[in-house]
Amino acid sequence: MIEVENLTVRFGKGKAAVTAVDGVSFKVNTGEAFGLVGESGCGKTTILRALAGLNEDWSGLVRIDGKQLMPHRERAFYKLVQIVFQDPYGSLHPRFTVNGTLMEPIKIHGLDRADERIDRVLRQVGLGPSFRFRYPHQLSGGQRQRVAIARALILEPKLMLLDEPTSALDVSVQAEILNLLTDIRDSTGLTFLLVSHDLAVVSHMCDRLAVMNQGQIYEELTVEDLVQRRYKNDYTRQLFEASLGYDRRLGAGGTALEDASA
Amino acid sequence: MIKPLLEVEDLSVTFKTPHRMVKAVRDISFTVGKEKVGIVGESGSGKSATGRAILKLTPGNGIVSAKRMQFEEVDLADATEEDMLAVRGKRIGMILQDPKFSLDPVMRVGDQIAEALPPGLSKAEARERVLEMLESVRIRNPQRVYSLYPHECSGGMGQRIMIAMMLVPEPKLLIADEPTSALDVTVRMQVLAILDDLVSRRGLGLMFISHDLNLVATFCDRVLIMYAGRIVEECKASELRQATHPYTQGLLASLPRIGERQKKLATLVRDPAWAL
Amino acid sequence: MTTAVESEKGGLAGYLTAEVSRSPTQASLQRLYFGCRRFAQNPLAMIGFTILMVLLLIAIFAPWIAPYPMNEQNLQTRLLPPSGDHFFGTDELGRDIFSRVVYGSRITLQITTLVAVIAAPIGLIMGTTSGYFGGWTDTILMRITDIFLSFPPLILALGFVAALGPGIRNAVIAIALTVWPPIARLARAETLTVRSSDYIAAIRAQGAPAWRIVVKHVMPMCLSSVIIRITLNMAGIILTAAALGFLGLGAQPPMPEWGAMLSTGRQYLLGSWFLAASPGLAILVVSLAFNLFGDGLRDVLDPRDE
Repeated sequence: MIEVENLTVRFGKGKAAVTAVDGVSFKVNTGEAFGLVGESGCGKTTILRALAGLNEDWSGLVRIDGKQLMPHRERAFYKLVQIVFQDPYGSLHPRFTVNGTLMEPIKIHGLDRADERIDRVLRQVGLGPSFRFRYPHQLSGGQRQRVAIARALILEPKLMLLDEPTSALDVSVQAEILNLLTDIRDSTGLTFLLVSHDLAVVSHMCDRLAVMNQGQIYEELTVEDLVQRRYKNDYTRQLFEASLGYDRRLGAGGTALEDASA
Repeated sequence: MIKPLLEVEDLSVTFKTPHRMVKAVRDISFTVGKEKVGIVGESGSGKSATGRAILKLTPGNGIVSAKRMQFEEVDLADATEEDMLAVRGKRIGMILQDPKFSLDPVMRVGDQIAEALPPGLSKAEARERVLEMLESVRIRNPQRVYSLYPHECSGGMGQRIMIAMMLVPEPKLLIADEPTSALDVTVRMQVLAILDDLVSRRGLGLMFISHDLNLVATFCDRVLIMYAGRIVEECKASELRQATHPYTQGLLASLPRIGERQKKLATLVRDPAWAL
Repeated sequence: MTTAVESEKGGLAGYLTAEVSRSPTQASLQRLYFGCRRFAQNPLAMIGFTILMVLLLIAIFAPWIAPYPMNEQNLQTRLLPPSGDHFFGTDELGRDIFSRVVYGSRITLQITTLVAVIAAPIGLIMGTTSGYFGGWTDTILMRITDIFLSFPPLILALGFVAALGPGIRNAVIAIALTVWPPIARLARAETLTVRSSDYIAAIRAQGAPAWRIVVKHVMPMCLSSVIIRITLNMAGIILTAAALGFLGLGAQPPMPEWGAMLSTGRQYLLGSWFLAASPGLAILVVSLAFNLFGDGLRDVLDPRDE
């Protein structure tokens, strides 16, 4: 579904340029759920935004569903790939009702049977028709995220990009949304590219993952390998151990730590 | 029986909004000794309100009432603002989530820490003390860090500086409200290690407020779970899996875990009875 | 569809307060309703609003409210102080001041409405286009705005009126030309904030063309600031119109424009204070009313302390 070769994204010009993504290559198979894991600033979100068409300043070779992606894309491509953002409180337009938000893509792409599509997609995300004319401030975080997912589904994409879809949600709500995503994948056969800093979420949702740091992929492995600790990279090990929780032995160490500065 | 550092009895915090009274914290009681106590809850559980209420830092429209909030010999419940000034920052320290918002952006970091020192020290002595503090939070190059501005420090370093600043007056009790939530996962472990070390070495009490159940269960000694303003569970961190309250069990079951390959996560079904 | 929800509270009240809206119209009307309710809870804002409503009614029913025709001269009854016959007295040509103030309200209302209707859209379009597209578009549009902004408003208006010739129509155009630049700046600032938000990224990721994003998604977010700003500007607009009238460049005699009346009244200030007092008071009250109304609008459209 996705073939990325040597993707590079730079921000800024000349001396002040920052290479957010440095020659990254990976493949995602159709119907697979692939995780991009890393800490903040590693470039995972940048990759996602470039794939979603939000950033045109990238170089490299990218193919989605066999078609090559050019930095400036045609409208049809947007129907193929959709993205769900991290912050449910910021990703819905405050002045649009749920209906308005879902109508926009329908109008932009000139689709028919608008009411039917909206009703169907709302049911798919577990929101009844009573939610149709509410404003975002009348919805909880979990409900907003469901609307965001509905918005991504309404164009019937083949690939869904998810940018930390549950990090801003409470633990109990996270479980509901993750289950919803699993259901959707089961019923539609969508391909998922999930970005997260949470290894537990990625290992729950995904089949394979790539560990990123400082714009590069350090390691690519299956979730099974991760769980069995068959990772090869030291950074992967650090992330894995950190995700298990705090280790009391760290406290007793007393060794000076790296002064990581900006 | 060792007397605990902090004994809270029947604490309530109510907020006045234009439409109604919101009871954020409802008659909770707990103690904190020379140990790490974690207070866990989701948003709206009242955990942050509790931390602030103890230091009387509740925002204007909040009403705090408690039968007793005994901190060593002072009853914080009855304390006047003057009494609180002697306690806040000096005998009870507080660290908040984002060092970006707690550090003065126009002052060098070392100078800010020096501000927390008692008056009467010479400049050289003050600088010595600050460098010592920076070393105690495992900063490798204290001289260099002394003259940095907050925006030049990473999140992890900023938090370590906050910890250093908080420990200067040698408090007995620390209240930390989501101190590591804004940090990257690997940095988080380092900062927690520092906190762990300092707390045990200096015999401090730590109240660790967080939404991260797994983190609190592995870091703290005792865990209090809050829901809708009440404490629904209190147990030793090591015994969390044997928790009895359905909310706790529900929370534990709904966490995704590496290695547990279940198709669907158990979702929490909220029983209205828990909020009574 | 059943009306189970609406039957809890019948009729219009039920429609407006229903938990669940069933149509886009209902959702919008509900928002309007709750906005109005919030506004009504602010006493000062309601005072402002009431005064403006009174102004509107006076303007509409002027012929019935004014006891005398506005231009009827009677040199026998010049400069009479306020009395039962002439509530505000008579001016230097024997005209009833009260009637003239009443008719003058129409002019004031005309000027303020026309200026708002001209300046706000220009400012909004310039500002949002500039802010959203950035680059050369931004630079060029903002430099044009800067040129207009660099003149003190009154001087600029004077310049235009001098070029176009005196009269109300030209005064309106001149004032509108001084009002749109700050609006453009405001809209641009709002656009810059909105531009980087996730909901704009989301609609971009759905393939929306730029014009659609600017008109349907960015402008609504700027609208409340612009409305508030224009309302708070009204006082300034009235005063500029009054100043132009004062200088004889706005409404021409014998039109009962408040500023022009104030100007004539100045000459008679020592002996007949009442010539200047009533139009002056009218300007003051209406400016204040717009300010209070604008403040109330701001609290409703742009709540800070939620």
